[in-house]
Amino acid sequence: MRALSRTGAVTASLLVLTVVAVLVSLSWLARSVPDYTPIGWTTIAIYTLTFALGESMRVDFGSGRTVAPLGMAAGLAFALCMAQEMGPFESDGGVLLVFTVLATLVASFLTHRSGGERIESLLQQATTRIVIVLGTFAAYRALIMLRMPGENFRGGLLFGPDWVNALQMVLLTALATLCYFVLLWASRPRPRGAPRRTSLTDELSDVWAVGAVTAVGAVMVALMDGLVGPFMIPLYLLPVVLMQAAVQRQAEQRMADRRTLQAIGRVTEVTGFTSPGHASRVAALSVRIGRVLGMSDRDLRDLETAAVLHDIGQVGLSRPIPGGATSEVSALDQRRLALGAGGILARTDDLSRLALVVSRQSVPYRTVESLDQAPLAGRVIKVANAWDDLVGTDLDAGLRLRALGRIELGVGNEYDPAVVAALRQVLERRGLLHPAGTGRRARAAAADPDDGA
Amino acid sequence: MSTRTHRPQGANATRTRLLIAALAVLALGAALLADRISPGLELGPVIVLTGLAVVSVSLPTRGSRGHIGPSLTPVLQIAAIPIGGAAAGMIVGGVSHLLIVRRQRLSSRLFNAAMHALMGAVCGLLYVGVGGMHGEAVVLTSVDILVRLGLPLVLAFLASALVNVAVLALRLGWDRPEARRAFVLSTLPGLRGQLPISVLVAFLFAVLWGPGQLELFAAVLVLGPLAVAHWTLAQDEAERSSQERTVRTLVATFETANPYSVGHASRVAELCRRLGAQLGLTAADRETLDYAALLHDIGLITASPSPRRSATEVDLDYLAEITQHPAAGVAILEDIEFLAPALPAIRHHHERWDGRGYPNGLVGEQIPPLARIIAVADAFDSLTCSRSHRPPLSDGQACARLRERAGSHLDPGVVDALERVIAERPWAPTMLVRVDDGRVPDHDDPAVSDRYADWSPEGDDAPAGPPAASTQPVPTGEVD
Repeated sequence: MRALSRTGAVTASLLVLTVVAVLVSLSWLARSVPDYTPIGWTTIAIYTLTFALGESMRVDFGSGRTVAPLGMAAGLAFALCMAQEMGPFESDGGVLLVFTVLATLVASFLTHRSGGERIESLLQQATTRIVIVLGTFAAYRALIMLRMPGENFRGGLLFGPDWVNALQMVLLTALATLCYFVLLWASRPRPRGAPRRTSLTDELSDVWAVGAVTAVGAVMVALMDGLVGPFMIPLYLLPVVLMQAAVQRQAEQRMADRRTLQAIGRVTEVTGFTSPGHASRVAALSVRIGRVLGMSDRDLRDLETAAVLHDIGQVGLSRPIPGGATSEVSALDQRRLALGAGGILARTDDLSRLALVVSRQSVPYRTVESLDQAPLAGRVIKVANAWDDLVGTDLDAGLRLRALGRIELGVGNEYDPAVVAALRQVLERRGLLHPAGTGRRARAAAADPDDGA
Repeated sequence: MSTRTHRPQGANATRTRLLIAALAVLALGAALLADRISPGLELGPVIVLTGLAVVSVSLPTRGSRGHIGPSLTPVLQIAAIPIGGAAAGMIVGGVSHLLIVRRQRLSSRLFNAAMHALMGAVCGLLYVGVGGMHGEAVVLTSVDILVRLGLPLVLAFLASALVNVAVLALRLGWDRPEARRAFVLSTLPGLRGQLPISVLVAFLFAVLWGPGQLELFAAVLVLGPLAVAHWTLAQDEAERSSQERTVRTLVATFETANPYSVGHASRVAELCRRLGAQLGLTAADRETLDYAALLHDIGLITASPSPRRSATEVDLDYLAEITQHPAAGVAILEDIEFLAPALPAIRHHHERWDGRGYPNGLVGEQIPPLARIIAVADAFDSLTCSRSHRPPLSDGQACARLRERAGSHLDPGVVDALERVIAERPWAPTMLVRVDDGRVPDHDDPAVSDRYADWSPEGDDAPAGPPAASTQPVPTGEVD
């Protein structure tokens, strides 16, 4: 709750700031309309249009984060262009602000219409964007003012005379893009169940490539606009378009990978070795527990993969275990099944690093002398698997309490205490442990394994 | 565009040398002519661009699947003309392919260098011929930039692509005009997508370098983002070649479930690889065939009849149960997107040419071509493995056995291909000898197929297509 209200406060203050700024600049512009040439107004119109369209073409980064490299590049180029205009600061800035807000409104409307995102998230992104664009404008204008009158850059051995200016623009847009991502990160609500937000370094390592291309692309658009004119602005965005396509393909690839893994995980369900949905339920629960334990995004992806595949060893059985409940069979058989699953994974190059996790999933906590012998992911899967074997999709809250009691009896002996505590936390937060938990929310939670995963 | 050259054979070597010499002379002539029309060569930029081109041409290229955007070498070559002068394109193209850092046969290296030199020279000639400007340090209007830089670049790029296709076609089909035509027809459509992007990148690069007065810094602005986009994709591919991984996991799972079939999938896949090459399948079809061959029996995980220790003969219970496995395999795999093209081949790999196979009783050409290939490979592998009731057959015996079955059980065209494949190189797979496989009936044995054909309930799923199709067998997907 605390995090949510803080997010709301950031967005609200940015929103108030924007509204005040728009009103002030509109009243300023109403007194004296800037005297741009027709080409100047055309440039502004084209930038606004490109900005709006680019913003509405969003790429999903996975886990609900979207970016719009095209829109951001167009917006930054717009800011650089207006900063070079050299009219009075207030009127150039005012025009930039008014048209940026206009473009943002159109983009938010388009995104919302196409069923994209929630209003709050759109509002928050829109205000962040406006602040960044205006900031870039002010900073570049200040840089230009600081130059000596009549000062000219000279070229070096290989770089031409204008390269210092271009470099300054690149550094500026790079800084602006960095601020944009940091602001977005700071104002995003943390995922449910996580003790902390995804770390900033995790976040930036995901987006730095897109950010770099966006920053450089914006500079190129601004330079080309100055040289060849505004009519081909969308064409100058080509490198950013290619990058956007690359990111898009990457995201699609990740989605397809997830579906593929789940299909493999279902092999044991098709063959009747495990109950339907077991693999994906264990995976979803494992990820929730992993989040409470503060595992990183990368580790969570591996945990999910290992959990989906944890029962694959059962295909080697000649007869299915009743209900597929591996926590009910003897410890020796559990060990053997886990080793079988690990053996299958070890045969494929890049799953082999998970083979250890999967083959150690049955190791009882008490025999773990050094915790390195049983990776955390394996201990999480062991608990999640036991829970699903005991409860499955059953809606009875009493059964759930008894099941949790049974697992807690094995704490320190069979199960890792920290993991079981995390399980309890997850179940409590989802309202699955209270008699009222037979209600609609619990049913939805039990039926939808992907919810919040 | 691929500039890989084919291996010259025997007498072809002389022709290749002649071709290389002719290309080189033509390139020099065109470049000299271009330089006379519009003289001036700026050495500094040319050296820098050549260096960049050597780096970009030497970087490992990945499969076409992961490719996005233009390849940088042609962009550098074309952009060199407005930056460095009319003859710069020839120098950048020729020298970069001459100095490429890669183990390569000398004749390939020389051929590529000569071809790219000619491409660059023709570009330069055309560029200055239509009034393209270069190396002028005057401030230009935007109309100037478009008319005297943009338009000539477009034309130069078109010419370069055409020269590339023409030379490769000449090299490929020296005495085969129809192959030449097929090559040209198959390459030209691919240019449509690649050309505009390459021209645009070269245009941006040249404008920022010259009129933009950035010179080498233009490379940071234009080539930097492209390199990052390439890297993004390449990194993802390196991190997870997920399709391979998926298939291998599935095969491993299957072999865990059916220990006596260890190696069968990969042997059939290897045979199918050879058959696919022999039948001239497209690259996409060969990949699909590979996946289908590796996974064709995956349904046995679900629909695996328990082997009866007493039964020496294949009984009807066994037959009834074994017919479920193609559909069961499809059920397991149908959620995996990239395997979708392989599903028909998996579903129908036990159909028979005479329409008496399972599951659908398809006849002749109704059977998906890839399924017919798998059927032949499957039967061949079964015959060349040892069984309790017989020793393994030799390659020749197995081929003879399959020859008898061409037109009834198997597609004659594929059997022909198999005979050619085996004649070329004997089939010598590594086989694990298992002592306990004798009691397990092998559902791939042609005898089992015959049992099914004799038993199969007539016409339950059989389509009404005339069996006459089987009298005129046509090889699958053959190009020559």
